[in-house]
Amino acid sequence: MMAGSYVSHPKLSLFTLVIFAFLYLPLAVLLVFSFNESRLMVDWQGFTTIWYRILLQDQGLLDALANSLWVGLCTTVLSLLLGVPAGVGLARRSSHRHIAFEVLLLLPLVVPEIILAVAFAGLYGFAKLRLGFGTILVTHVAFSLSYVVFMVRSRMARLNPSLVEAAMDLGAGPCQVFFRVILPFLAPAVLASSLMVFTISLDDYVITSFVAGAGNTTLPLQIYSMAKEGLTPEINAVCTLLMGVTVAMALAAHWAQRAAVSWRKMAPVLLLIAAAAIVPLGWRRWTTAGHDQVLNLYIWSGYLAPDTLKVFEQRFQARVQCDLYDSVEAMLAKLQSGNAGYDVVVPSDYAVQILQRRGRLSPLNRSQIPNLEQNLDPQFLGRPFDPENRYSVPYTWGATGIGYRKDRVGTIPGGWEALWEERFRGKIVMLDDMRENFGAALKLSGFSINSRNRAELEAAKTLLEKQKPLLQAYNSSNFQELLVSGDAWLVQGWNGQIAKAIRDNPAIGFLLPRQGTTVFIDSFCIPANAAHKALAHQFINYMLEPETAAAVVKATGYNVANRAARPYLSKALLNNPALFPDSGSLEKCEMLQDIGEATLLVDRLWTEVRSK
Amino acid sequence: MQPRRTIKSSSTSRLSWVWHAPALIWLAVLIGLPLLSVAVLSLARRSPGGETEWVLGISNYSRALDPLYLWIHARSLLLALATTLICLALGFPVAYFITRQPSAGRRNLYLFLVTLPFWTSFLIRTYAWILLLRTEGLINNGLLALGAIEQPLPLLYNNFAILVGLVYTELPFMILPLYTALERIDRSQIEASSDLGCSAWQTFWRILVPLSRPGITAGVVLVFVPSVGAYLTPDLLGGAKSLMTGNLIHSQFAVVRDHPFGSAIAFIVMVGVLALVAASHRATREHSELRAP
Repeated sequence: MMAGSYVSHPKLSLFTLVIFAFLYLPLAVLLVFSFNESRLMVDWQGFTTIWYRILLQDQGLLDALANSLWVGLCTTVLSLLLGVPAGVGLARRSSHRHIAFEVLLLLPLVVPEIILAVAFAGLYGFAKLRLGFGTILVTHVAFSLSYVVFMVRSRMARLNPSLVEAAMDLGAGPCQVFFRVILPFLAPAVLASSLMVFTISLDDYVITSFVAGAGNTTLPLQIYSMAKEGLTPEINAVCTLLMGVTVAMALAAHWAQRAAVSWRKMAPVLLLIAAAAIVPLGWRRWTTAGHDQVLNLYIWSGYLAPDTLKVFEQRFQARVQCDLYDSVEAMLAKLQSGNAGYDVVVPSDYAVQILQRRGRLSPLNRSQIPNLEQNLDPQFLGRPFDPENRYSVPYTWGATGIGYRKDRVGTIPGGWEALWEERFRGKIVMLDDMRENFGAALKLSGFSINSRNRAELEAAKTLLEKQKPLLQAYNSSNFQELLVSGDAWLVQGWNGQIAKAIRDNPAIGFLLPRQGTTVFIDSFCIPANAAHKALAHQFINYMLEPETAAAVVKATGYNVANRAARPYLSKALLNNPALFPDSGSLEKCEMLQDIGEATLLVDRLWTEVRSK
Repeated sequence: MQPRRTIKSSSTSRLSWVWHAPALIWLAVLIGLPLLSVAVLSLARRSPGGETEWVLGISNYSRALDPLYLWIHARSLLLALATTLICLALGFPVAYFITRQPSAGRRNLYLFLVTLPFWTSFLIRTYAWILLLRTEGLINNGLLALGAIEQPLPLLYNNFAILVGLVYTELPFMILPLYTALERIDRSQIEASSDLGCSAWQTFWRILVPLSRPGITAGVVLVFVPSVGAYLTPDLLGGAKSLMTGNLIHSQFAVVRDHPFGSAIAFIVMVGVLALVAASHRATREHSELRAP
């Protein structure tokens, strides 16, 4: 049987084993840490199954998983229906007659995802399509088709034409030839490309984040937005479960095949198992859809306490459909399209200005939000981005500062210069954020964060160039974990994330640089075409109640712009330096503003720093 | 060339547009149309407030040809090339190994195992690599405990880490097309070549590589092209310290809000990559025609 000297060559098996080890090494890490007691994926602190229990109660994550599996399955089926015949057709003709088709097939692979994402969002906005399952599916098929066509075509190129001729000589029609000769020959390519398409669809983040609407969050969207508050092992648990189920299915199919059960009998069984896994996940969503009043909320991840929404749902007999975002641009693009279907959004200061200028916000009815004047701290009202608070109600606020390991750095200066000290070479991490980097350098030189002056910006650039060799990395996503693990000793970071890190490791300190820094305010807004405006006002008013706001501070590590909430906070929270920086150091702080034309200059200088 | 003509003149070929018309329409509407609008967008300009002004001109293109940006593209191309070659070198033996499995069930199982790791989220896989590669991470601590090294190796936040991340992400896109091509090769040809005294190495170069050429081409395109535009891996594993083409374009959209300039850079990259792919197609075609008996 095993003819040929190297067919079963041990070296080949060994090599394959090594590659599989490479492929599965990160998965092993993932699996092990899904049973880790620590919230942070830093070190092993003991065995627990608590993350699986948390996962089973996290309806948002389960819904996202169900959505993703459905999108993946539908995308695969539709891509095969369109792609297999196309691959067959293309392989039979000389390719130079199909240059346009060739180019169209290559484009989805060539064009950076972000461009496609913007282009899709523009198209759907122009066509006034409601963003949702349909737009996600259509888009996923568009960028997955090429994979099917390429694989099928490269397989077809190896089809012996005499087979087809023989079949036709024997009287087979085109359909018979396709189903009896070509399709069986293509089976390996069809299988391989289905696996590919399903994988791509299941994992797509950038494009989906621009074309998904209210209530259609997929798993990657959910995971990326959860990453902002630090990924917890709950995500490992969901990935482990997903893989566990699929491995079980694959092994079942394998054994069934070895036991000579035919595919025709197996396929329905497998589909049933798949449906049994998916249907309960989405059940709550499908059964409750359309019953109560629904509020579609679009908010930064990590901005709500665990039962914030539950209490609201009970009190107002409504259902809240909550989608999370982690990038301002995706949020802007979706609201821009005007058909995402959200009732309440929570943009940051400058984004409020952009949305308002483009006519995407609805003026608020202040009489329906009495808590605004009763409870909010007046210093957060009437800010330049919305001087009369006609469109926005301040919710949370925060500042950029320096988180550091007290146990490793000894004494450090109380300003931005700490991040330029030679003795911390390789242990410093800066945010991966152009404006924040320039902000720190500008403040260090005594200039405004919103400077538009060329000489001042050039000076800041020189400082950043000097700093770059000292840096371990630019990182906006998990800098607090680097601090907790001790890989980084000093990080430029947002106070909320560092406040959480302090809770995990008391050896971490936070300081607001004495030269001043950036502060931000995130506010509630109601989109111009929101369908449930009355409920949206009720929701905003509810969020401004002292008890609700205090629970949010406790859970998120971010402070609220709510004066009335203070008496509800514990001493420990009030003493957390990252949560309540002393107000003297806040005086020199500024909010980021749009710097107009100077943005291009800053971008150019930043590109020069980073391409060194 | 002879057989191909036979099929084309057969009765089915007159209707052959029916085969690919649905896919063609789908792509024309959903890829062609939006990208056409991006092409137009690349001729517009950014207003001081970050909106798009419809004053058409080619200033974005002259700006994009600045050496500063061209160097960034060159670095990205190099990285994509390295990724592709490593994937090919690692993927070929694995794909071959899978095709040599005795039963279809086992082959499918292996194929499935190749893609399974990618059913987790990209972000979570990348975080797992961060855990492994960190200064105080699992690999360094393991090696230190074994006494293999005395100082932690700098594994994370450099080009090595980017390469590991890209190869990891793209490997299945090499293995799967290679598999579909290799699976077709008649085992008797390999046996014949070794019977005739070819070494394993000669068999590899003379039989396996030429016969799997369509698969190699497909795999190279599927790996190379996305690698050129990758931006999350350089950010997360490379520490965002060296700018890549993908980062450059992404920041024009996400940070600077200069959509016209971002589109212009994207178009230059797009045309460049399409030209490279076309050239490689032509090269492989000529090559195989020369070799054809």
